[in-house]
Amino acid sequence: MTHDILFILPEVVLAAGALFILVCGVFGCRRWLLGFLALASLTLAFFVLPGGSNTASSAFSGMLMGDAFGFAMRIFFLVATVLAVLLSMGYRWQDDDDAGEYFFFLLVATACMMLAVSSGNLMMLYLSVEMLSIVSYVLAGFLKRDIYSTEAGLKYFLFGALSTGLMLYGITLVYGLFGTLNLADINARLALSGVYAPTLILAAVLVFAGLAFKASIVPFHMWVADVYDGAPWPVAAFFSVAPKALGFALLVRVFFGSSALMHSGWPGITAVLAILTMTIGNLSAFHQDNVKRLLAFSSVGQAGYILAGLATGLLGLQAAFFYMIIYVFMNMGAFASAALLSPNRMDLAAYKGMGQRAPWGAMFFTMFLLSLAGLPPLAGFLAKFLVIRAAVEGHYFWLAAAVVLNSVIAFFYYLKVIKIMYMDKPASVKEVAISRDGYLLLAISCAAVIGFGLWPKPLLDILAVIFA
Amino acid sequence: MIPLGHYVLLSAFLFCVGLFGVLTQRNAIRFLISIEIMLNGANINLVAFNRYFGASDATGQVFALFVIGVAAAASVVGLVLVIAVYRLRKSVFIDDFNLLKW
Amino acid sequence: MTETVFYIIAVSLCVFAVLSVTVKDVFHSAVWLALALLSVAGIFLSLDAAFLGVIQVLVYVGGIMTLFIFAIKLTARIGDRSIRQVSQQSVCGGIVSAGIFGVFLIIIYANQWNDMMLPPGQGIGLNGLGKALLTTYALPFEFISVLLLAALVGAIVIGKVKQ
Repeated sequence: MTHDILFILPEVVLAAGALFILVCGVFGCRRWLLGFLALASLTLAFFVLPGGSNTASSAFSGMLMGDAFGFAMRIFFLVATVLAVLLSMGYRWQDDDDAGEYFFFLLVATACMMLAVSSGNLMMLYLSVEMLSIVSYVLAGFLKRDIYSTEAGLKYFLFGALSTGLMLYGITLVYGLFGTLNLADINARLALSGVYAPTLILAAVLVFAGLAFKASIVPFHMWVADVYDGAPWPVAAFFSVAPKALGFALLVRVFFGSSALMHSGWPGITAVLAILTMTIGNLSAFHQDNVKRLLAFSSVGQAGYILAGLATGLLGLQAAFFYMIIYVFMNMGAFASAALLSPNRMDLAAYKGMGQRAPWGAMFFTMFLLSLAGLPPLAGFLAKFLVIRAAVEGHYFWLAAAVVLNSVIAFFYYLKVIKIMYMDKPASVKEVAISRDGYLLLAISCAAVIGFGLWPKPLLDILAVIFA
Repeated sequence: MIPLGHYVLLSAFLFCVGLFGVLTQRNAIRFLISIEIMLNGANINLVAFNRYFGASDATGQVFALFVIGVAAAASVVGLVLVIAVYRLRKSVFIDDFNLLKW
Repeated sequence: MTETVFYIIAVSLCVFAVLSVTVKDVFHSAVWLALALLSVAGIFLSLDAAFLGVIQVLVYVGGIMTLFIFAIKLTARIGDRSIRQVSQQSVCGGIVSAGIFGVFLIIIYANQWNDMMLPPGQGIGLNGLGKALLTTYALPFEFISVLLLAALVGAIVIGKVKQ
């Protein structure tokens, strides 16, 4: 029994912290104090992560499973949320309303993501994903007096409810086929009987639909532009890294557990979807005037590169997760720079001459854009290189070519933003001030992007151990 | 005696009716109504499978119970968002929500 | 006897569901949905899941439908009935749904589900359900309470009007 409780202690800490912040918010604490409390909860949760969970174990009668992958992903989500909280503290909101509720939702969402990634049972997986979704709808529509935010929240809800409904139906079909919802048992039975039952394929498609929605894989990417555009900047930044990573992690959890599924056409289909995702994402970003939508489509393109890694087997799996870790820092950094430089105006023209108005901020933004584009020696280049290498070694030459081609195309729209910042005359010469928390976030992310680019070995070693 | 297939057929029919509603409705509230129909189809599937696979565990019924709870929570949030949008735009028709278009 | 009752309930459920997505007035649509949800409770009763049937009536019909009626009345506009409720793509949507239903038909008859008959006994019963909720499924059971809290707080945050 104690083993079970120790296993979920981090999530319990997060939930307790969330409640405490909610109450403090009611009593009128300011945003920076609430944010600091959120950071404290996240740090405490990190320190109570069960140390012995590197061996395969299960908790709560098989609801959760403890393996190295789950453990690493829990740390991942904690780090991603720390960055999101820093951005929420440093961003210049219109008013200080509901800050307690905001951090409550962020911490609860993190707890859900951590539980989802350690799920050993499809019921637990569905419940955590659904809870994350509900909290996300509220976060997207958080600025209730802003037309764009409420519309974004509603659109996210409509698309999201449909996709989790599809996923639920797929899960019921899996239950009907196997009589159990336990992932380990299902994989064991699949290994015995093979994969070609049409019902199983339909169920797999439905479950894939639900998870692909979160990971913004084509054709389930339609919601991304509208939702990221309307949602508040820190919320959009959070969406672009954390739930997206959860989608990919759950795809691995659900579909990679059985080798039978892996050999039956998964690589081919995934490769095609990856090419579609990166191409559509990059091409759509091209003629965007709105920096939020540009970054939104850019994140769809990045999701395509990560999916390309998932298509190519074990080496590709390591490459995909290396990419995902780098992606958290560079995408968060890009969103944060854009948000801190121009909180209220979202058209590209607002960034004219930022090189003069906010030299440090513009420099950070340039770093992140160049890393997203894949320029050496930044980490983004190494991440792309690993994905391409995995594709070539698996003889998926057309996939590798697509990644290279897309990187070249994407380079042009990233360059467009940099050019606007440094070459165009600014609309006004007023200096843009960025808060201390904002600079802290930008500095951390930039350090990660440069650091991992130059010294990737520790991270790569850890990944090799996890995916052995 | 009623074969299991008839329950699954009923559930599939509800799923498809809900899907039809989701694909064709312009009114956000009717979209939600269609989603509820789909979720009920899934629930029937769960309870039927549980009953027909032997009486030793209650997985399907427990899951159906949780789905009802989750559907309630999701409907609450969804309807509140519909009302929030309505307050600002005076419309609940999805086609009218074009502020975030290209 | 119970078989005839099941088929009557099942057919009326299908009819209510179809009516719910096709009638013009959104309030009527909600009423047909409520009747459909009651029929689903009847289906649960025929599957020896009495507790679930009662919960379905209390939560779905009693709670969620009340919520829907509130939302419909709060967002009503004069002259709503003249506006097209169903989009132009209803034919396309109908074809897609019919296609997917066809896929389901194939799947059901290709599977062993069609031959399975009801095992003897009364099913798991309320005792077993309660035991499962508090032992095997204790974690999701507690987790749902946080979910409900989050939904409640979320609804208040978005729904409240600043004084």
